[in-house]
Amino acid sequence: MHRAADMMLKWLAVLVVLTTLGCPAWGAEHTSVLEVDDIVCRGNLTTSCKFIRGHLFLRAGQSLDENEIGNATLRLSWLPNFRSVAIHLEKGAERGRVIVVIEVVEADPIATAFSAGLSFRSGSQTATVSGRIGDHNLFGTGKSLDLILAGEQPIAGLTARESLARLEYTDPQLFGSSRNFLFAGAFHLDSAYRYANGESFRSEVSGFDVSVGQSFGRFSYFTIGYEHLPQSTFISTTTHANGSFFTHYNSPQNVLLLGYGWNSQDDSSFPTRGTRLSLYNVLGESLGEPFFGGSEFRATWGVGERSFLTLGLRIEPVMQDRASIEGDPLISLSYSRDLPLDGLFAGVRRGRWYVEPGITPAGYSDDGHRLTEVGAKVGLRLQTRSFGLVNLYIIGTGLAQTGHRSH
Amino acid sequence: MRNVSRNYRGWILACLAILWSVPGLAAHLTPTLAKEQLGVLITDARLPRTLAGDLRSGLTTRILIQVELLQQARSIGHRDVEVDLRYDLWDDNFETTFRIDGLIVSAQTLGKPPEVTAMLAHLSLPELFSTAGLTGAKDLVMTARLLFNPLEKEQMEEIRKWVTENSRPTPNVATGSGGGLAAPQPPSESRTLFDRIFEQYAAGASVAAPFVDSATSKPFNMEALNREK
Repeated sequence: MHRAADMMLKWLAVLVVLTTLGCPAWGAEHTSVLEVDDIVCRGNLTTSCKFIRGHLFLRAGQSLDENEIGNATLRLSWLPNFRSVAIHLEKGAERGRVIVVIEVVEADPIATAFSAGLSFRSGSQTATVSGRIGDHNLFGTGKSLDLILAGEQPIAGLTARESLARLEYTDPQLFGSSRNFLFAGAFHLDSAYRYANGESFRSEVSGFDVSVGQSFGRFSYFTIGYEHLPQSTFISTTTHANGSFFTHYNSPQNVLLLGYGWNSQDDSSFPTRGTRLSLYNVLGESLGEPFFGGSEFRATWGVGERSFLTLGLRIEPVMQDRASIEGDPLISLSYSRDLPLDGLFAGVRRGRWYVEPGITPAGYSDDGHRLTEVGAKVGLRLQTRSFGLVNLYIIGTGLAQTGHRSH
Repeated sequence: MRNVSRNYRGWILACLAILWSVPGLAAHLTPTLAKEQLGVLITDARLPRTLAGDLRSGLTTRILIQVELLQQARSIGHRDVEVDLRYDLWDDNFETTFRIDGLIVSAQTLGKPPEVTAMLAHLSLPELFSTAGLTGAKDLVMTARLLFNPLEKEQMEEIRKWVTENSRPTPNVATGSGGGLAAPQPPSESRTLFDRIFEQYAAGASVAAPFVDSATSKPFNMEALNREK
């Protein structure tokens, strides 16, 4: 009798252990006895089903993996190609076999971005307006064609004007490879700037360029390209420590473009974390210097609920000054915070305000003191329903003497 | 110091009471007592608009209910209840499974979607917390957070990595490439689903979901609950 009771207790213990092991904690994988018969797409008018299916890592003949279906829904939802994505099952050829149906509503492929700003810098006040409109699903293939226009006009003070027009084609998957990409463009840039300390920059350039690139590692990529400039004039007058002026003139026609980049930002417009680095160099006849390039670095961290800090570093060639870079300083530390999407911002999809203090070296004063432009950019970045990405900002800066007089 | 602490607790309880009394703000939660165990009854929970479609999708609809037992605003118990609803394409019914902290506690089969929504509108979760040690306890409050089709942090991290790896590289700033005007691809409307989950993680949540509702009980004490039984 005791032995029977012992045996029963042992079996009970084994059963309890097995039951515990067999019951996953919440969120554990949901196994399925269903088998995938086929994967089909619905609602895709211009996007190929092959492209859509490529985001679901599941094949006909495999067991249905519901976690993977959840992941694929999120991957497809993130793409700009679709307004909505839903996946459901339908009965397959026999009981236990299912057809996975990916139902999409395609989004309007036209993308727009708009930026307007006022700058109050030492000696000049300007207004800048820029915009971008493009088709980001050209011929239903995921390629894009964008027109970019930018203009800056002085309101008062010293000369500060720019006009830029660029038509840009981007193929994010060159020859069907997700690693290779191409971008090409034709452009015209005309800019002229004069500063209180006598420095001036003048650029008038027209041309076209084509670059190919390859992603490698997790976040890196490199690019190599060619730029032909039938018309190009760069004139820069910069001050030296001894108070003298140095004028540099360039007129390159054929240049080689080299670039390296890294991007681990989780969102290009509203990053919450990650870093972005872009280094580029331009090699060509008559540029006169082995290095004529620049770099941009941005690192973002979350600093509390919906608040972020971004460290920015931008180095531009000393021979250019451009409004279309939106007046970003050399070194900046920006604080930004997500906007509550109610009241005034109820119609906005996403929004963030930011304050970006920064400094930029600004040459030398007449009497040989090192000058630094110190100021801040304050703005709003909104993802609107009607106008796309909108950036509104005000820049205010002043010049500060940050070094002793040079002898 | 003690007075300050008491005042603080009083404020929390007052806030919880106000939250509970505002109609339509969230689901209603009523504590229940059976077999010397505390449970909850959640009524009028808001359901996602997509629920009807989700239920018929043939895929499992998961609802995670995080139930918290508080005494004087301090947590003294926590249970994760998971309700899995799965539509059987051939039998045209719903297999419903209840788990508490990962262990299956009950399973049932429901007929049509209205039966499922009726069950969710009057969701009874008995036997969550033992009353041993709670005899005569006062200032008790129960809260519940309902997460529809939640995602674990690891799953979201994987998706975020995929997104980052598949983001279009920003063209380098060549002579006339437009610099700061390099507008990114427009986010789709469906991406708001992604962003909503993503923002919950950015705010420090360990579990996130595209749709969340919550409920808080009126403050109660064990003596009164025993009398009501």
